[in-house]
Amino acid sequence: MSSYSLGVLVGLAVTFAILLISFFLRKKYHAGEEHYDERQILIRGKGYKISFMTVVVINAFYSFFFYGITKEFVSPQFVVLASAYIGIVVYTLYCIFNDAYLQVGQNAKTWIIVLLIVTISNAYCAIVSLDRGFNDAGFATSFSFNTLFAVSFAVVLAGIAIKYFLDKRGSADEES
Amino acid sequence: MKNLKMKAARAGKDLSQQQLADLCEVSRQTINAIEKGDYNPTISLCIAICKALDKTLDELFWE
Repeated sequence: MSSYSLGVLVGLAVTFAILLISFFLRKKYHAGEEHYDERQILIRGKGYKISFMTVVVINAFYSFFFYGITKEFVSPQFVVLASAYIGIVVYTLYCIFNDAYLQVGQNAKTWIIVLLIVTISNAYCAIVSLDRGFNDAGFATSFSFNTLFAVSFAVVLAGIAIKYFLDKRGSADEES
Repeated sequence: MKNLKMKAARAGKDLSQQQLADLCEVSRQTINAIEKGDYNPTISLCIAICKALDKTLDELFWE
């Protein structure tokens, strides 16, 4: 096994261990503090339906109409992942605009910081690997994936910002 | 249909939507949706709201 593969494996193992430990610690010390209420659970269920149908429609359109004309420029590998990501973004935006994205008692700032870090790091990686293009001998490139991730998370961030300003503008609604 | 009885009961106890939401362990938007008539709560949430506002189910949710 090469040192590169070993490094990747050790990195994955350490990341998994950290995630597992933080999950159990959170479950032990913060159980029941954050949760979705009944209205939010309903909204999220409807969001799943909408995002599922979105992915089905995108895949159907791609396979029937766009595969032939785009296969030279965009790899099918990328399109499969992109359709899943579009579904996730649709679901997230639906939840954001129906106040079902954050749990009751959850801190919005933490999530905004995480989303910002993911967006900026992926945008940076995309800019660095700009010369690779979208398609390399039929395979998706790191540039295409980084661009997809950066755009997806940026759209979610934009959704949060728009919702924040909409809520601020209609804050009189609270006690009306 | 707007739930004006619940709104009046909340105002009567001098509670904001956020305070009532904290008492019932739901989001502020859920209380707002119930008052505006956009969401029909389950019986368990109705009971939690009634307990928080010291009212009966009849007083708040019966037309």
